[in-house]
This record gives sequence, structure tokens and C-alpha cells, in this order.
Amino acid sequence: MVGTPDQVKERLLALAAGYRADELVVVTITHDFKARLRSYEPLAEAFDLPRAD
Amino acid sequence: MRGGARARRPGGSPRRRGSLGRSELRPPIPPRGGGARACDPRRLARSAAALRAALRGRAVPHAGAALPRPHRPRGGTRAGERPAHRAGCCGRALRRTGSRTTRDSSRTCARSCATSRPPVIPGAGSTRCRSGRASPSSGCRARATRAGLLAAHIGAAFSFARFINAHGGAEVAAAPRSSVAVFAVCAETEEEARRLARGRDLFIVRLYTGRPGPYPSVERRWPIPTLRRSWPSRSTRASAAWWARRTR
Repeated sequence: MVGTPDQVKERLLALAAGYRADELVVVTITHDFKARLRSYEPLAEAFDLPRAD
Repeated sequence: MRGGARARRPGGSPRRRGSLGRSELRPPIPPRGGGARACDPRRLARSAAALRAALRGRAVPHAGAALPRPHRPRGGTRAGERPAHRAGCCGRALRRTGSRTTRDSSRTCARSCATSRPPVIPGAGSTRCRSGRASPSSGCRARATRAGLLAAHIGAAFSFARFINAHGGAEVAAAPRSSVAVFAVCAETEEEARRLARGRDLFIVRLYTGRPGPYPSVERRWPIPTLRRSWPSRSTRASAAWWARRTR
């Protein structure tokens, strides 16, 4: 799943529906830790997840 | 371990390989809801015995250590049978993989036999395709199926690690609670996301071609300049790259 947050969200939902899974676990590994955060955050926003401050 | 694998069943018919038939996949005891009942040791033992009967002695890797072993007299083995201490998941795993079994995998298997773990079902996808072939064997899929079947059978939650092995996973639907773990990379633009994901591709190719290393940065040259030309072969590298794309 590689793309913009909206694209990834769409594919993730399609995947979860295909597997009939209750949950999704998103694994993002990048060399740069900031890039990793920049990947997680917009995806969390796309899914309307609450911030865990 | 190897001696045991060689000495097995001299005149016997070869063990049937491949995925389980549809009728065999049906759990003998219908799966019930999770919770405290699923953890009842008597129920677990009953489920394990029924599952063992359903699988007819075929391996349930990883979960095998949690299943109760059939009682066998110490030292006394019947003619043509392997010694009792090799009757567990180690022997079966070795037989499954045959000559492709590496020392690493047998060590891992021995460790899983030695420790008595609770019947937690690991992600089915954790069965990595070590060979890096373009078409992973049906064993990967079958193992995933069995782990998922076991989870559905004893009412455990099941997590399918798709980012490791994308094959199988249909049994996720059978488990009472399930999740799918996916590798995803988001960025503002698609090109940037693709660029970031290339690091993982390189990591996977290196891993499956026998040159594991730290997670590479995306600035690293692509393809890998340090690989020898003779080995891994071009096809091995290509199939590893295919695997990297398939699991993301």
C-alpha cells in the first residue's frame, strides 16, 4: 500500500473488506524516522483516529 | 535430526503434500465464542485432540509445541518408526521442507519444541518464504491455513501478517476476532511514497538473497551494486523483488 493517504485508506478498507477482518495493523518502516511519522500521521487523520497524546 | 529424517519409514508411502481438502478443513467441533471458555484447559485439550485427528498427524508449525503429544513408551519404538523424541513438530517440519531445511529453521523449531508456550496463534504470514522463489510453495499457504484453522477452532484471535507473507489469509474470516497487518507508506504525493517504499524493496531483496543488513536509506543506489554476479542469480534477485512488491 503505497500512495497518498486517501489512496492508501481506500485500498486498506478494500483489503479489510476482502479479508473480513475486524482490525487493520499498519506497518510503516522507513530509513528516516521523520518520514515514518509523516506517513502515519496523515493516514491516522484520514481514518479520523484520535490523537494519543 | 537429519538421521531421523533419513531413517523415516523405509518402505512406507511418501507423505501426501499440498493443501488440505475442503472436508478436512471443517473443524470437528464448531468454534464458539472467545473469552474465558476459549481458555478452559479441558476445552483446549479436547480441541487439540480433535484437531490432531482432523489433521491426521500433519504438522501445525509454531502451534505444534502447544499441542499435547501422544504418549509413546520411552525408547521403545515400533519397527520403521522414528524415535519418540522426534515425533513432534521438529520432525514434521523437517519432513515437510525436505532437503531445503536449513540449519536455522531446525534450530528455531527445536527451540519452539523446548519451550512450552501457551496456544497463541502467531500470524499465519510469519512463515517466510526463505527460498525467494517467484512462486512460493503451497507449504506456506497450507501452514497459514492450519494456523488460521487452529485459531478458529479454539476461539483465539488471529492476526494475519500480510506484510510478511501475502499468500492465503482467507481463514481470517473464520476466526472470532481477526486483524490483517499490512505494510503501508503514505506521503503527500504518490511519487514521494514510492520513493520511500523503495528502501523496503531493497531491504527485502537483500534479506531474501542472503545479504541481510540494516534498513537502507532511499538514497542508496538501486539496484544493489555490491551483489556478486554469479550468486544470487538474476532470477533469484528478480523473485525477491517480486516478493517485496507482493507483500506491501
